[in-house]
Order: sequence, then structure tokens, then C-alpha cells
Amino acid sequence: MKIAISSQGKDLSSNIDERFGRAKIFIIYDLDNKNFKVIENTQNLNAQEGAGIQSAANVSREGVSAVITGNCGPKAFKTLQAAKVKVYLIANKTVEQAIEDYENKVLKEQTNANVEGHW
Amino acid sequence: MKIAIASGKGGTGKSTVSLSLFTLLAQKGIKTALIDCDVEEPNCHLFLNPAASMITQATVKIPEFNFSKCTGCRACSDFCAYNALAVIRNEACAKCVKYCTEVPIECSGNEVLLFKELCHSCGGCALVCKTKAISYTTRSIGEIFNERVDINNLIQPFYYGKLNVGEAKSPPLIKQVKNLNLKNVDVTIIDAPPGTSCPAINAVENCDYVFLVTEPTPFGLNDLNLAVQMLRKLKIEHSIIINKSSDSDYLINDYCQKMKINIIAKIPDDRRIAEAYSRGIIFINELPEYKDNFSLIINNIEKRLKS
Repeated sequence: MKIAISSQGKDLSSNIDERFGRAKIFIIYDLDNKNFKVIENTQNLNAQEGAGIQSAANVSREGVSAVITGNCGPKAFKTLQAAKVKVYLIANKTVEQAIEDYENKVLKEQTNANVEGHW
Repeated sequence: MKIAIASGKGGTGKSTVSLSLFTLLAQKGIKTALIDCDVEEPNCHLFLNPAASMITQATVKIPEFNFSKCTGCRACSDFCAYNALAVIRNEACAKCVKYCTEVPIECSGNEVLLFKELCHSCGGCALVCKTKAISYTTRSIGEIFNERVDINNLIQPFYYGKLNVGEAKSPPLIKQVKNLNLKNVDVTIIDAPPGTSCPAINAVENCDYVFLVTEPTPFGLNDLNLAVQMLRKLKIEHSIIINKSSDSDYLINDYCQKMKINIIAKIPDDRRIAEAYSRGIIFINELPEYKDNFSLIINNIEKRLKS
């Protein structure tokens, strides 16, 4: 099973990125094989509109079942929901810590976006 | 001949001037049409009593998807410059299709979400789709009002657009209202929306002349300059009307002298003008002494019509 974590850097010790749609990087972590892949998200960082939509479409195509991020806007949430990807929120942690919290079932599944677009 | 009344700053008196000009030209026997392009908040109709009214829905195209033909190739979402399409793979659906033993389900496991508020109706997604999975439908963005107004026993056409509440983009409706076929009309007056971005640009585009209405205040001057820059970029001839003219006119006079722009009319800061406006009355009808303030504008228009 794979999960996506929005990240400020390219390794597991990086801090998570508070934003989803305009996250710098997504780390796609394989929980079974314990390895990961880095996806750059700069094209959406600079998007005028629809950054959340495209970020959501991109991570869903990686076959993830869940996303861990700082905040998730309405269009991103709608897209992830349609792709059956669960959303979990976290703050002030590294990617590694986020994965640990997820595996220990500390994180709560979101039922809605928690911020407006362009927040 | 198409003339736009624009400003930059809102509330300077565009509608006041548009309605007055509409009335004065009609009274001179010139066949005139008025188009209120401030579709987010049209107000000219509040001052006119139409003899006849016709309302049509304004619609825009949006894509529709046949998911049984969709291969999930993403050509459509890659093409979309507005990020309005999300192509996702619904793994649960795909499994259903694989294991279904009954009549085949019309589903490929691919799904495309359309965020219609971002769609600009360019038609590109259907063009690039290799399996013809995309067709078009329409959705309503507002209404177009087509009216006839009696001025001096002459019937003059009046049109306006009203954008639906919640719509983010006004240019598509502005374009539709401006493109209405006007037969036997000598002068069309376009009451533009305030500002200097997409809505105002769509209203003044392709006009022969623009009158910029300003007020002699620092904000008025700031936004007048933005509007002048806009018209210079669009290469449309223009001159200035100072509304609420007062001792502060020097702010605008100095600017216009520096920029070599003509001030063609001034309307004084007379409280009675605001009072007439507040009662839905076109002020030159109630205060006919102010018709003279428009004389240079009328001469300018008549001269252009003859040439």
C-alpha cells in the first residue's frame, strides 16, 4: 500500500509541506517495501488556479490510498474523494514522523476540506 | 459607431454619462442604442422605462464525458490551460468491470472531473481526445435583456446583461451582450464596468472611441491613469470627462496636460444631480441647463458620424 506525503524536501527527514495543492514535493512512500519515490510539484506551485485539482490527480495516479498533508482545500478534497484517496492532516512534523503517526493509527481521516482555496 | 464610457475607478459617473448621452443623441434624432455591459451589477435599466422587454438565457459550452470510451490518457487535462479537468482512475470501478459476469457495464474505470467554474469553453479538450469521449453541453451563466425605450416618441434599443450570482467570470456574458446584432443604429453607447482588467477590457475592445469619466480626487486620478494606460495599450482614442467637478480639478488638469489628453467636458459637483440619480431620474431631464455641458461631446460624435 502506498501513501503520499506533501514535503518541503526530497528525503524522509524533510519537514512536511503545510500546503497540498502548492506543495513543493510529494513523497510517495511504499509501506510494504519501505521505499519511496520523489515527485516534484513545481508546475502546480506556480499555477494560477486549479493547483489542488492537478496535485490530487497526480498523486492519485501513483496509486496511493491516502494523503498526509498540512491543509487541504475544497477542489483538492473533491478530487481526492472521487479517486477514493483518504486525507489525513498533520502539523510540524517530518515526513518520517508523519509516516510513523499514520502506521500507529494516530491520525484522523478528514471528511471535508479544512481550508478555502487560495488560503 | 461604437463609443464606450469607462473609468477605472467605480462610482465616478459612467452610467450618469451613458444615460445622458443616450437621451441627448436620441433627442437629436440620431438612432442610438445603449448597452449596459456592467453585467455584475447593471443599473441603467433602473432609469429607463422600457416599452417592450425580451429576456434570453446566456449560456456557455462545457464538456461532457462518455466514460466508456475514456482511456485515461490525460490528453484533455494536459491540454486544459485552466486546470479545469482532473483525470483519475477509479480502481474500484475498474475491478467491477473486470469481474462483471452480467451485461457489460458502461464503465472503463477512468473518470474525469470537470470543475466548471474554471472552464473557459475553449473547446480544446474535445479536439484533443483521441477516442471521441468528449462532447459538449451548455450551462447558463446569466440573462440578456433586450428592451425598447421611448425617448421623444422615438423607440431606441437598450440591452443589458445580468450575470448569475456565483459566477466568477463576466467576460463571456459581456461578449455575448456586445455581439447582439444591431440594425439601423448610428451610435452604440457601451456603459462599461469599472476597473481596468478583463471585464473593462472586454467592454471597450473594438470600440471607436472611449470617454473616461473621472472625479477630481487622488483615487480618481490613480485609477484614471490605469485606464489611460489600458486604452493606450489597446490603441483606442479617448478623452476625459470630469464629473463632480470642483476646486480639486487641478489634480486632473495637471495630469491631462502632462499626458497631452483632452478634457472634453466637466459636470459640476451639484447635489441636485445626485438627488435626481437617487430617484432613478436621468439628470439632464430634470436639470436641462446641464445639456450644454455635453455639447462638445455631441459635436465630436456628430463630426465622426459625418466622416
